[in-house]
Amino acid sequence: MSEQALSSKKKSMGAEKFHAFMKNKLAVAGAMLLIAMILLVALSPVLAPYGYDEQNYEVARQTPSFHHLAGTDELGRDIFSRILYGGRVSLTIGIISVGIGLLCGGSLGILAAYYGGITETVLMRIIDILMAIPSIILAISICAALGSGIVNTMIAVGISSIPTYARVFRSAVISEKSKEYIEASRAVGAGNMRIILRHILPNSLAPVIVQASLGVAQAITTAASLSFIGLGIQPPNPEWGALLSGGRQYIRDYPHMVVYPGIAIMLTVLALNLIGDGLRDALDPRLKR
Amino acid sequence: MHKYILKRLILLIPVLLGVSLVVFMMLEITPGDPARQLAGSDASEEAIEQLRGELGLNDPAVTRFVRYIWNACHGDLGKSYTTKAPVINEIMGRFPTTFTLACLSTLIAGGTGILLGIISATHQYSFLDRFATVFALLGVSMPVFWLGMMLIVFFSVKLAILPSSGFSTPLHWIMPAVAVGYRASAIITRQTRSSMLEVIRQDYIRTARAKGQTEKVVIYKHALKNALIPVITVLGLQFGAGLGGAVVTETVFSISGLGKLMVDSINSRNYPMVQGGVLVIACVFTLVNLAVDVLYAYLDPRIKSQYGGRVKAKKLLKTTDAVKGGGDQR
Repeated sequence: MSEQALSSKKKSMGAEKFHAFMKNKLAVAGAMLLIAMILLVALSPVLAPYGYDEQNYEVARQTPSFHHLAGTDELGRDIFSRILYGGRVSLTIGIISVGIGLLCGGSLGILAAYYGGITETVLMRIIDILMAIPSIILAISICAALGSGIVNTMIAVGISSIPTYARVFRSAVISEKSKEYIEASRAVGAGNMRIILRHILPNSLAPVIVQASLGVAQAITTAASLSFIGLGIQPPNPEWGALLSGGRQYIRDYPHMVVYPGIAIMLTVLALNLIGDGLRDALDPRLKR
Repeated sequence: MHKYILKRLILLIPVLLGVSLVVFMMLEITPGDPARQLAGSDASEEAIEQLRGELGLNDPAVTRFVRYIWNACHGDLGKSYTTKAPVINEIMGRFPTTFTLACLSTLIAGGTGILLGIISATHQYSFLDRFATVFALLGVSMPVFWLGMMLIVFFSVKLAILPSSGFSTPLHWIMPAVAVGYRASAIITRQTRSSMLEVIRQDYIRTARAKGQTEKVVIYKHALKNALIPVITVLGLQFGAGLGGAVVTETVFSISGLGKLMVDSINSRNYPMVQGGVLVIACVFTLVNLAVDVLYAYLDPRIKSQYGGRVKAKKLLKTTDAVKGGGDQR
């Protein structure tokens, strides 16, 4: 019976958070925008009027029209279709690099906070070293060393975000590990791994979820910057930053080539930021009104 | 105070050593043989082997790392693959431009961000508050380099009132500095707003109002002083972001600063130049953050009074850490 009471309470807490999030109009708008974006991008083979590498020199460098919603580039490729296909690359990079950052940064942060002492000192000094390099510079140098390409970009962006996640996890775990239920589970003989994975981790996820949703936005921007300066994704692959990089030389005469890919980045990042802010308001007990 | 600064300076050494290790490792995992690159494509095998011996490339990695550190301490960061000139000369020639850009953008960000943050907190839910919220949301959503391109399209191509490339006159500075500064400005607006809102609800503000102080004095003398303390840390972090943003923005505006140098070097696979640039930027960023932390401790009497004991110093480091953790979320 106590089990039932516990689970019903848990459910109501989740529902409460969900309710708090749904009451935030901006956050809901962000969530809807993101869902629309994901659908458009996921269905790009169906929705895109042209292929992403379909060239047609007869219509090269056309301004937006009914046939080409966002115009065409120097090879006559339809920019709207390239944005849709490019979104797959950009969003994938965003999500996977956050995954890399969460996994590495999270393990470092949790281990540092849980074991404390010398482990914490050593791990956090390593994080300090990574923090000493501005994250975009860190991503640039890792990408320069590894070479370009989707996987290397994910690794570079992921590693450059490790310090942030390590810090968020560390502070979340520090506040959680001194609570009584941890002591109780240790008293009944739970091992360190069990305590970390089953008890501490689920209870310290709230700030991490907020950070991760903002982190995807950050990762998409960083990856676009990398592609823009010639690292990251290489043409003819249609990543959003690569589209901007390709259109840069035509900016004076054909600004539409750089306007629309940028708007795609902006809307996605905006949606993720709105969601992140909404989650922060809903999940952070300090901000409860 | 001196004790604290000294301690922080000593703590800097392992961090900088670590950064150079990271930079050194990057050069290690980069494919390609430095000797072959330096000797040129038409060099004979013997010449390359001889050069390898001269450069000490056959030594174990630890020896080479120690030598790298030793040379870096003497201002030698290796030779450029393309010009064969010492990397440090080129970097130092370009650095002032990038530094100026980062400073200008931080200045813009601090000025507009703090002002908007205050207005938006003191007039919560007003039109100005909503404007500031939208301003901040747009700022954190736009990639710096794209904003730069849009500024070029509007102010250089359409209106033809601002030059689109170069960094020679103050007129050239406007667009790059705004492009880099806008994002930071947005972040600082949000930080100032939330920290100001928190302070305004404190008891001592109510006391100040109750004793009949004018609203101006309450806000600008009592509230602002306390609200700005966390903002300063964010400002320092944004300076680093400004340095990073400058690296990308210089390409947009064809500014021959450190960033453009690094990007060009990446494209010509001139790795010593890239690594040298990273090392210099990291050093500057670390020093600026140290200065910010010292300023932070100096401005906050609660922290200033904590100098004496060891436990307290530790606590101080933790508080600044906590603020930083919050600050770099954006």
